[in-house]
Amino acid sequence: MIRMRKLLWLALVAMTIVVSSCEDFLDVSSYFDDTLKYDSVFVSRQNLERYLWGAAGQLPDESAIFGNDVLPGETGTDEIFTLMTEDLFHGKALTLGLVSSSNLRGMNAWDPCYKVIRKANTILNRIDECKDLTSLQRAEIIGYTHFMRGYAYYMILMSYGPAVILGDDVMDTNRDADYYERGRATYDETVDYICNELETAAKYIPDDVPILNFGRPTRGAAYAIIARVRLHAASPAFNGGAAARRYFGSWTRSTDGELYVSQTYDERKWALAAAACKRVIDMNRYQLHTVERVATSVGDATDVTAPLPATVSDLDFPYGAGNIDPYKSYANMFNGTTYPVQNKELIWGKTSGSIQAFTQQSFPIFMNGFNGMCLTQKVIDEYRMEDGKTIEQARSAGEYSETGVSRTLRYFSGYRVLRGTNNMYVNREMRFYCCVGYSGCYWPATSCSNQNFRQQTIYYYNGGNAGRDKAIQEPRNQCITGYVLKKYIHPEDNWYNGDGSTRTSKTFPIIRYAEILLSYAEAVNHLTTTHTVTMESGETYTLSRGANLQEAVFGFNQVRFRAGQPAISEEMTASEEAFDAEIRHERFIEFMCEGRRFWDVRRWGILEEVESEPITGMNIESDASNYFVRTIINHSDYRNRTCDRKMVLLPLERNEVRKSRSLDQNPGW
Amino acid sequence: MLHKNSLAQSYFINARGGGSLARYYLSLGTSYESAAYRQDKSSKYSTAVGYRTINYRANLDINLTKTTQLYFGADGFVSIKKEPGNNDTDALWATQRNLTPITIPTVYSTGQLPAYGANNAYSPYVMLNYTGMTNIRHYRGKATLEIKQDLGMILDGLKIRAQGAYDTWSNLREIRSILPEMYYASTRKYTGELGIVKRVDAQPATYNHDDAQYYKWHIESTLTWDKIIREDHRLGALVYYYMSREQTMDGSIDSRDATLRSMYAIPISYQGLSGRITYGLKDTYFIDANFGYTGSENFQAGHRFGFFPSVGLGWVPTSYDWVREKMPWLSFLKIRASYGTVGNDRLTDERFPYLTLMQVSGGGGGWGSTSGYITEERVGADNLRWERAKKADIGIEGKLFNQRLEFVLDFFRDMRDGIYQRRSQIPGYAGLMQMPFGNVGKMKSYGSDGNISYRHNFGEDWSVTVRGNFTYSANKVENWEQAEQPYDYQNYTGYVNNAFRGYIALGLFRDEQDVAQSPRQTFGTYMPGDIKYKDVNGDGIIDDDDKVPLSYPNYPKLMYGFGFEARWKALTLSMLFKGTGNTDYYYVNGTTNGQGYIPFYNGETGNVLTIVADPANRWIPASYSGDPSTENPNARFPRLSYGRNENNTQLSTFWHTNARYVRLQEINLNYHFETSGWLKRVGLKSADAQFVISNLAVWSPMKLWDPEQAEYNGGAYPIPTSYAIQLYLNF
Repeated sequence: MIRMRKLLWLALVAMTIVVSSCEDFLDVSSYFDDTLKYDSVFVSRQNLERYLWGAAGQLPDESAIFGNDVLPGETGTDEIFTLMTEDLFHGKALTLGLVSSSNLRGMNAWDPCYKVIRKANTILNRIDECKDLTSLQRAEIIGYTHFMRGYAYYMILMSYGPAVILGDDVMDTNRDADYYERGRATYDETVDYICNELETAAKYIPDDVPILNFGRPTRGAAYAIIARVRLHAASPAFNGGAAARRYFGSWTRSTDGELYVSQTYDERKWALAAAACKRVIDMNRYQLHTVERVATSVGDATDVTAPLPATVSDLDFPYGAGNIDPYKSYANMFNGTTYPVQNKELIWGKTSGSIQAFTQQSFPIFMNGFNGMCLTQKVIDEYRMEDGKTIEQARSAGEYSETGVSRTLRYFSGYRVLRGTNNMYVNREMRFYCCVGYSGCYWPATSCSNQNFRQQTIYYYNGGNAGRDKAIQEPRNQCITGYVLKKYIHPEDNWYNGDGSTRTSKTFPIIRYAEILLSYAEAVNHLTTTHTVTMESGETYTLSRGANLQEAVFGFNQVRFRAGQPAISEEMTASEEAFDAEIRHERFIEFMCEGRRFWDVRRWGILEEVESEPITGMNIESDASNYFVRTIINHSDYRNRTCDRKMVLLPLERNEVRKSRSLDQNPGW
Repeated sequence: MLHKNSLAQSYFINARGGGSLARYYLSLGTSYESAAYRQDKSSKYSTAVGYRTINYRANLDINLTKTTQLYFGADGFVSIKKEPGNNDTDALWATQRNLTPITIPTVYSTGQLPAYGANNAYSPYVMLNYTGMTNIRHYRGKATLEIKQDLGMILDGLKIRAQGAYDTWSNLREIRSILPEMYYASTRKYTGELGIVKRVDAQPATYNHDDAQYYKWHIESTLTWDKIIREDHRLGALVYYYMSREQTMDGSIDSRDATLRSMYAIPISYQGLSGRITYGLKDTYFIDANFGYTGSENFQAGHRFGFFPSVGLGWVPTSYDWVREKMPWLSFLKIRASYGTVGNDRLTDERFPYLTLMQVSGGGGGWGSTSGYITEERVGADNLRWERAKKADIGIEGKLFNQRLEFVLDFFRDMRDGIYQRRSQIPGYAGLMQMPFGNVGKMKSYGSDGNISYRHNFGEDWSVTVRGNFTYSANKVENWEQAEQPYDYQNYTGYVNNAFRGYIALGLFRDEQDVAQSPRQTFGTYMPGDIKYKDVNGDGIIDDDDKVPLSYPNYPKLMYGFGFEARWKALTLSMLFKGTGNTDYYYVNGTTNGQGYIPFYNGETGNVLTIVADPANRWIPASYSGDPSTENPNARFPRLSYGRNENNTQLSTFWHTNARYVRLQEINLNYHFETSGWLKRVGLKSADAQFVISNLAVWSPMKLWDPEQAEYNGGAYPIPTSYAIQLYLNF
């Protein structure tokens, strides 16, 4: 018995030693004590904010409209044709038919957006843990979080249409597949959810951001994105009618047969868009960017503003263009001249490294560029004459010709149209000169001190200083259409390696006031009856074409005046079709290479039509004598282009659809 | 380039002795093996290429008291390996594999060294003689201290043992690397001189080193109690406790992300308590119950410990008197069965996968952040736990015919559950920054192993023993998480683990018409003479969706060995064979992608095997040979291409072969003699003289290289045949 007791005692001691040392021995927390732990992120305001800005940094870069584009960029439109690789210029892969559900070619906004949504939901779920927030700070964080969530869904809507709406769910990280199964909402439900999120955001976030925090959205940005989304949803592809039927007529949710995209036209959607635009206009915070007219030569004769054509009102802006310099008013916003926080047109913008980096694509090879971002002849032809005529009207009036050259050197606003410029490029509107690098165009590029690489006239004909023969080493570097994009290039910018070459910092307009004005005109133009719309924020608008057309035309004309173009005629605005055509033209030109057209041609339902038109440019295979001849691009990258109506939306990744049984793929993919 | 033979020597000496108070054991060994390379005498680096080892061991047993024993043991191992060139040995073989004999000479007639191919590859000759040398110095040491105490004074049969061990190794690798000037002759000038271009500049000697260290300490203690009660009842109990900690510190830690380095450097720790109770009745019936309670630092507090019980039963019918009487030829028979669970805590090198790691940055972030950002670096998985395997085993052991025939046969079945796997069924809209790990995999494995031996004595001088053994194991994945696949054969679940997946080849395209009428293949351009694949899903396109599991994995299910030992007086001859059952092998596989087998794999860099030179092995276009019969649709190689042909280098049944083999592993001739005369007087008790040949021959359907190293397609240091004369002197 005594023995047993001794044994028991021994065992007890042994067990105690074992048990007491157990957790301690295996505990590794001491190694982590000084590192940041997940839970401590939500306790302090500073960390919570850093988590919030970290989440915003995960959103696809909307300014990456050229290369590395996650949302398909300019190379996926009829604005830019490039020989550069589709591995960098993802939009091009779409036009070549290389995008499939098993190979998204880099255009996957879905995953990053849902990561952001999860982070947003995490913040909303855990914000109560934060102890050092004032109620104002708390409201702001909640506001920005809703904005972020709404904006992430907006990006999903643009690329993919109907979204999987998660609400405030933060899903567990390690559960069975069934737990994660979700289906998609309809298109209209997604639109309403986005608008609702942005309305909530608008309640809490301020109207202004500190200069240091440029890039942060404001209440105005929330209202403006709502306007954009509402306009999108009211447009032909998503609002009943032939285009909606063609794209989505038979697309139903597999679980309950519900149509994803409504097939019934609802005019009220235009009214919602118009009201959303009007709310932004009525904020009275934004106005188009203008630069004062330089009337007479003060010091530099080349800086004088061009005289206003007789067709354009010389009243002061916004009733005319009498007191502004149209060239600089437009150009300075993009080329890095105007300091972005002083630009009242910028509802939301960001400093963009991507825009700056891809200006290199437009420079000629000898200035260390690639001749890569080539504008199509379609864009060139879309630009009007200085007095507002289309090139066809001007041709019949004998004012436009594609042969012969100008005999005068013309200076205006610091720009020069050289003597010897082909007549095609003479007397065109100011935005043409801001954006288009044509053969014979003068490039100041003055940051470089080396005389051989600054103040150059660039020629793209075979044998010219940027001609095809200069790209023998790397055939991608031929300027395939004979035009490059100059919109974001400052007169000082130069990519030459050395000798002081620099590039100015670029601002990308995520959304600017001109879009609100044109969207308002577009929405009002489509109204046939009177609609009363009450906004979340309390305003009530009664809208009809009759009552609001004048205001819409006034807004539309501001965009024209700012560019030095004449007002639209009354006969044009009298007809819905004619006004709509003018609005579409104006959006094309005003937002050329700002990442809008990809979405516009889709919502208008004209994707297949515009994408199947031949892509033409100048005859770059010829020397100067025969260069200025319209020529269909002679390259396999053009011949292999395809367009299909399924491209109205992008495909979901194949595995994503396979992971969730109720998740339907987009039609055709 | 190579010696046919290389020399290996080893010497070994040991001594043991002692008295009633203490005993000792000492040993010392050394070996030297030269490499198979034939370096130029003129090469500066020709000295001392080889592998030298020294090992030692010293054990000491001391009786401290009548019931207390102390043991101390220390052993160590030092090796020094000198290799030519600035790369490891396999690289040399890989370069040989990449070069055709006619691409470049060893040295141009001008005396300049060659470099070739797009990446300026150098020849094995240059690599061996002109690229410097590598020294690897390795030390391993271990010390063990143990105390045994008989606790009979407390309880009869109770013993306790405590042991501590410290194990350490270190590794130093020094690379002295140089490059000579290398040239390429692309043409011969009209004057007859070589048109030579410099391709590689000389590089002066550079010195690099990497080192690694490891330590492990391990403390364990066992408490045992054994007792026989009234002859029939054999009782036993055991409690075992251990804790251990180990850490490996090498370049892999530094290569981790800066924020993760500290975490990967955390030592691996274990702690466990286990116990066993055994009971035997009349040496006929046995039962034992075990449990393990093990903890690992890799899990979240609360999930660190796993409980793993098991139970075993045994029955020895030969213990019955009536069996002994009725079946005297049956000396011993035991039937046993066991069932239990074991655990595994790391199947991935991810540490602490339950933790969500945060990345903090002072700059960056979106939306005009001026305060930097924080984001999840890794998403932790909730509910992680130990992986468990349920193991069942049934075995039978027997000795027959006066113990001349002995056999053991076991059947086992493991059911592994909760295998760590990176989740892949979680959709993107869950928004995880990264897929976490989960205990989601499930796998079944089953099989059998056994061995048998038969000994026969033909009188005093002659005896023969025949032996055989085998292991057969197979497995099936019961659950492997994947996104839902459109075709059943794309699932891993239901197939062998690590099964090869590839295309089913339908031979070679016969003609243009065949190409035009067949489903479109998506691996670049192809034409008659290229491999034609089967459209498994019938969608008219050959792509990823047509990959099917191609039966077995690359390791054999069946492994076996057999041999015999014949003794005549003091002379013993033994032979040992080992072999494997069917093993699938694909010349084009994940390891080599076909490099080494496919001719002109990378154009200039790419071996051409002699079998390729034989036109009968190739598909040759009639337009070239002028003979339609050379368009052999069953040829071993498809249409020749210069450089990699994507279409033909897909893993497919076309490249299938069987890597099963039988190897004559060892022949051993031993002569043992007891000493007499002066030898005995100097203390030599006995001696053994041996002649050992290992790896003398291997038979396999795969003849190009050693089937055991098949996956490298010849790019690995081969297993040599070795002949050894050994002398053992026992003093």
